[in-house]
Amino acid sequence: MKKLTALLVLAGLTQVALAADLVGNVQNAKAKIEMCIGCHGIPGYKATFPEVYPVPMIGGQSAKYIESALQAYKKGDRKHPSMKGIAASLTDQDIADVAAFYSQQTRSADPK
Amino acid sequence: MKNIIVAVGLALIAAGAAQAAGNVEAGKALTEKYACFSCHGKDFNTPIDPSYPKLAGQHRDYLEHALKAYKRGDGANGRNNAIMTGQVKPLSNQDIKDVAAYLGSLPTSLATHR
Repeated sequence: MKKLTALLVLAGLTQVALAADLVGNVQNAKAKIEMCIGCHGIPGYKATFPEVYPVPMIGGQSAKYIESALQAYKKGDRKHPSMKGIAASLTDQDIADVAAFYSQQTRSADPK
Repeated sequence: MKNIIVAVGLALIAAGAAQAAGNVEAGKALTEKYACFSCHGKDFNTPIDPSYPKLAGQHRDYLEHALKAYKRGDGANGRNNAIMTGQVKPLSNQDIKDVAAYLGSLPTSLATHR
C-alpha cells in the first residue's frame, strides 16, 4: 500500500513536471480563443448563470495564473458550470497557448 | 421639518447604496488585517508568485463572486483552493463586499481585448 502511494505521488509529480514543460504559443492560440472572446473579449460583458456579474478581465494576468485557473476548472476545483465545460474541452497545450496569449495583452495593446 | 425628513431619507439611501457597493475604506483595512498583500502584492498588481492573480482594478462584482465561491467550497458553483479556502473563512458577506470594493478601486493593468 505504501509503495502504491509512493508510486501515485511519483506519477503525480511527473504529470506536474510534464505540464510545466509545455510552452504556450501565442500564434497557435489565435485559433483557440474563439470560445473565450464571446465573453472575455467584450468590455463589461456579464455572465448570467448561475450568478450575474461581469466576467473577469483576463488580459494582462500572468500565464501561470491563467493556466492554474483553467486547470482548476478542468479538475473540478473550480465549479463554475460554463468554465468547467470549456476547460474540460482544452488540452494542456491549448491551455498553455491561451494563457500565453492573454498574458501578453496590455491596457493598450493586443498581442500581435 | 420636511427638509430634515428629506435629508435623513437621502442619507439613509446613500448609506444603503454604500453598503450594497461595499466600503472602500473598510475594505482597505480588511486587506491589511488579513494580509492579502503578502501573496497578491503591495499594489495588488504584483503577486509574489506568477500562479496568483493580479487583483487591482478587477471587476468588483467578480471579486465578490470569487470570494463567495471560495466560501461555498464544494457546494454548487464553489471553488476549492488550499490557501483561499482558509483565507475567506473569517469574512462576512459585508467584509467580502468591502474587500471587493477596495480591490476594484485600485489602478489596474488588466485589460479586455478580443
